[in-house]
Amino acid sequence: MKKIFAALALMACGAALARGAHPWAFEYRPFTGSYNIFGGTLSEQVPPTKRSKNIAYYVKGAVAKQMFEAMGPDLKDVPGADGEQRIRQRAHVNCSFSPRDGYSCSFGFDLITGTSIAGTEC
Amino acid sequence: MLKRVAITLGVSCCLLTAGGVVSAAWTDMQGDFPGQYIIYGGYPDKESARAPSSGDTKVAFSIRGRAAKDLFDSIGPAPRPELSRGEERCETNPKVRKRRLETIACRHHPKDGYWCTFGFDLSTGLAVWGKSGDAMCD
Repeated sequence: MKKIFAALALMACGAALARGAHPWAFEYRPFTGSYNIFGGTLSEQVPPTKRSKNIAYYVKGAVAKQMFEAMGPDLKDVPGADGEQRIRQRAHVNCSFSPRDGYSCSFGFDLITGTSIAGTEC
Repeated sequence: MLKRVAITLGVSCCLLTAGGVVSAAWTDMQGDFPGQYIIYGGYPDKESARAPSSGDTKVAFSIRGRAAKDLFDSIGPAPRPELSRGEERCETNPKVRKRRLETIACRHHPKDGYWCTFGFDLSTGLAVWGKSGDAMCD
């Protein structure tokens, strides 16, 4: 009987390990980011107006790493992508990784129409 | 003497602040902020969400404070049904103001201030709801 318990305990332990140190749970986790509300375009920003108003977000750290990993594979032959900098993109969501700066993602919204826009210029 | 210094300082601060508001109104709508996020599969509520998998990974963001207020203010209250935007109030608590712009949802609750939520499907990059719409009135 003791052997069975021991075997069961071992199996439970193995299953827990297989799920990794952080099993998924419906839990919100903290992140830090920055935002910028502007009119015009990313490269030529003007004060926002009733006809032109956008928001760009930039996030880094664990959230960016998880987004990056979900978005693979790396983009090849795009500006900014080289041996140091890896870039991944889905529609207007852009994530990058470099050994120097770590993980970061950018995205944005057109606040007049609500559509998704890029959060960086590349 | 002290009183006079205090008044002078107070007046100068007011003038500085007023000047600052006018000239920096636009550049003030930016900054660093803390928020919360979740990576999930399925739907963004506790009952239907599941572990993310290949082809079904989404991210939901939840933002409070000044970053949420700026977004709330920027969305504006104008009722524009053709763009799925406008301001509503919760039937259960009319003091709660809800503003929506496509997949962005914001609210102002008298108890906990401004809150916004939005998200992305990371398999496609398309914008999706953050927390489900029902959460707005809780």
